[in-house]
Amino acid sequence: MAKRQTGSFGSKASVEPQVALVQPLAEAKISGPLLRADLIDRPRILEALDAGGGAALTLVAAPAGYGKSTAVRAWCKARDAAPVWARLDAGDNDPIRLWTCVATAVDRIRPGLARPALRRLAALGGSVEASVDELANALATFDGTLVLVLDDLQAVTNLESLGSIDYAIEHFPVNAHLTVISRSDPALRLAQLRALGQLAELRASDLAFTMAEAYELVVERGRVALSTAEMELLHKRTEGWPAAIFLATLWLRNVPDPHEGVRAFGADHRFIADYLTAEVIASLDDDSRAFLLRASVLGQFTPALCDTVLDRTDSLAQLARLECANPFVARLERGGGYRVHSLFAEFAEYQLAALEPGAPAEIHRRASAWFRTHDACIEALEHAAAANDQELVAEILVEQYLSFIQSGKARALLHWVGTLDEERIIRHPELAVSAATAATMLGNANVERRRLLELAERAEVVCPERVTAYVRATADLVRAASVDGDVGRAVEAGRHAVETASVDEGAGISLVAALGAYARALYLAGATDDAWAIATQAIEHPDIERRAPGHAYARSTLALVALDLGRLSYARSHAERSKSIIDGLGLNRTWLGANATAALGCVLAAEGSLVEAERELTRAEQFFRDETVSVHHAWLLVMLAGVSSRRGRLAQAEAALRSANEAIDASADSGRVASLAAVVQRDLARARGRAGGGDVLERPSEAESAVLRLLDTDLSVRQIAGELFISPNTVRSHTRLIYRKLGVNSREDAVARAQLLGLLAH
Amino acid sequence: MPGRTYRLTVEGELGEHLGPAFACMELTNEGGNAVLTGRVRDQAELQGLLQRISDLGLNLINANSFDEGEEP
Repeated sequence: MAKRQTGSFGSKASVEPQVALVQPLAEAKISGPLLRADLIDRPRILEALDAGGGAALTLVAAPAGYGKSTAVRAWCKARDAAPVWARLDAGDNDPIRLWTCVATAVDRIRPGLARPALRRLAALGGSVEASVDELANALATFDGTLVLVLDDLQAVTNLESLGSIDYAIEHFPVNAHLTVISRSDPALRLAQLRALGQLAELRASDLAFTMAEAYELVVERGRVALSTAEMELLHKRTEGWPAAIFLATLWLRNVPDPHEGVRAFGADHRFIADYLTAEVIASLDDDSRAFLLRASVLGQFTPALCDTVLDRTDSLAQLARLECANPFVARLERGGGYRVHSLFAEFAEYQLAALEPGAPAEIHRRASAWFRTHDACIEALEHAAAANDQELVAEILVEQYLSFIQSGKARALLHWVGTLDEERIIRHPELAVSAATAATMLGNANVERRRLLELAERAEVVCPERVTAYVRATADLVRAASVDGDVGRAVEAGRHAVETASVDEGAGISLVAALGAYARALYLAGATDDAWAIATQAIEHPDIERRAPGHAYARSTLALVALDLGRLSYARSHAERSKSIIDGLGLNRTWLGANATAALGCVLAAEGSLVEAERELTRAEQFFRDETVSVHHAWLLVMLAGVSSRRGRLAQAEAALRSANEAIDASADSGRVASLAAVVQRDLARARGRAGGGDVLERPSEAESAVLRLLDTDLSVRQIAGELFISPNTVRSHTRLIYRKLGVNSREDAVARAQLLGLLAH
Repeated sequence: MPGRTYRLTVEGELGEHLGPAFACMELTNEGGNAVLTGRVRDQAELQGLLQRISDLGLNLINANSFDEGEEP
């Protein structure tokens, strides 16, 4: 029964315009805590944080309820530094999402400030580090001090995400101070920073209330008349844990005899947070108690959500009252939403469950319904899951799977279908095949895709009445698009998919996607003319604009076929169109997105821009890898080997070709890929012969070496001349001498030979 | 079932209503502390359990594990 923060899965869900009503909760992700007026001053904490001003990183590490966020927020305010707040969650194990969140928060400080970084984050191959660099550049132009706060970092465990934070620590400008807040020590390079004196730390022992602070909070501010001895007992029992001291104040303010209360508390062995939460809740009147217990189940909410879910009309007034009286109910800094502190909410939910066993689940179900009617299906799914109601999760997915696929939310669909029991997936075979589509789009999910297809096949036996034309066509579509190790079967499946989809169009079946997958299978089989005809049919379909993923795939296939047919400008325009559709879907970093990149790489290679071609194909390659043998991957490796070989990078070419041949050997039917590989193999052998033959008559001079290094780029002679501040004629004469000394007669051979001889090492 | 039996001691006695927080473990209170005992399938499950302890603000003060057949 872990508390779920709404909107923690799927980065796209929270920013779509139609969810304006739940926008306040999306704002929560970049919202710091609102400081309460009755906060006590803690100068020693501020001073401890000041010490971090000169360090590269401030680490605030302590368990829940130690006032970590409040301390950092209060320090920003006291020192007049603008806080950039990013509240992280499990979704930020994707470094792109993490930095998109941080950059979005930076952009709020001055609109446009982080736009270049955001643009780079949205682009494929946009390496995370390059984006962090871009953000660092933007921050350096800001004339003022910023505090970048990564809150709840304990939710992030992915090494790539953590590595990118390490990188930021090293590269951020001095006016942007990085502060991380975490319940546990994060796996950052803390030891090194500590050794260099670059780490400022604020830990539980620092954040714990001293006796004097506790006295000020409870007796002076809280107006609970305790003696010093009683206060000492309370301080000892709570060990200065701020959450417990706040709870104790709340409780003691409302009991008839606080002295007796403290004595009882001191002698009790119950866990203090649970004990005190129970006491605080018990001291409320019935109506407030019912409200607070139920609102705690929601965790994070707007007054409107509360009114509907809890069947009330006075949530706003209740919340305003609670916000004043209870430090565990906080208004968000932006957007008008509220949050109940996670610790208090946890214990409140267990207490409600004990009092009224079905109540928490019922509240989650109603919240799910509310979000569903407000078009926030991720939040609806999260509450359905929190209610432990698998059938409700399935029901929402059945309603949403088409829009998930069409809007590129493949990762979310795959995740949510994956949370269902196998029996339930079988009874909803449309979910099995749509999730299999999502797995294909994302790539590197071969095993999960096969499992889902098998579940759809079992539905044929268990509940044949539920296996609709959509299910059959989509299963075939997935088999055609994924190919695995058998091009012949993929062609068969593609034909079936197209047949079924043509007969029974509508009902969500995408003829566009079926045609696209069939065309690609035909291309891989070497049936170029048929592939051309089918892919053209796909892009001429009236449905095309609503079928973005299928559209992108058909366009990238058309680009490849056009190259086969020697129609270079056609190829380029299809590849570019495919790329822009993928950009629009935010699917750059997926297999489907990498198809557009690969097509563009092939176009560049045909145009002779070998360096760029190699870069694009290399970027695409990582998304073509799969858990089991894949003809797609073999094809891409062959294309890459061809370009590397033409560039003279023979060792790389050989390595790529070797991997390709392994995949080809492991495939039942690799279609044309085997013969494409054979061609590259021949070219490579020839290049190897040229590069290895003859002797070096003389090593190139220093000036010639400078030219030689630039021959290993896409630069023209004129551009090389410009780079080196010499005339084009000088470049030409140097080049002639280089050729003679290396015993070659082309630029590519010169590069290959120079590589072989180690002349290009910098 | 494979795995090992773990016995985790946290500070402060826990009420029965908190049993569901550690669904797979048996909860008993001993001398002012709570003891969670149960079979843990693998390291991932153990880490999840420790995470729950930390989420609830509990202090872990002792952890032991036992082999098959050994008396906890």
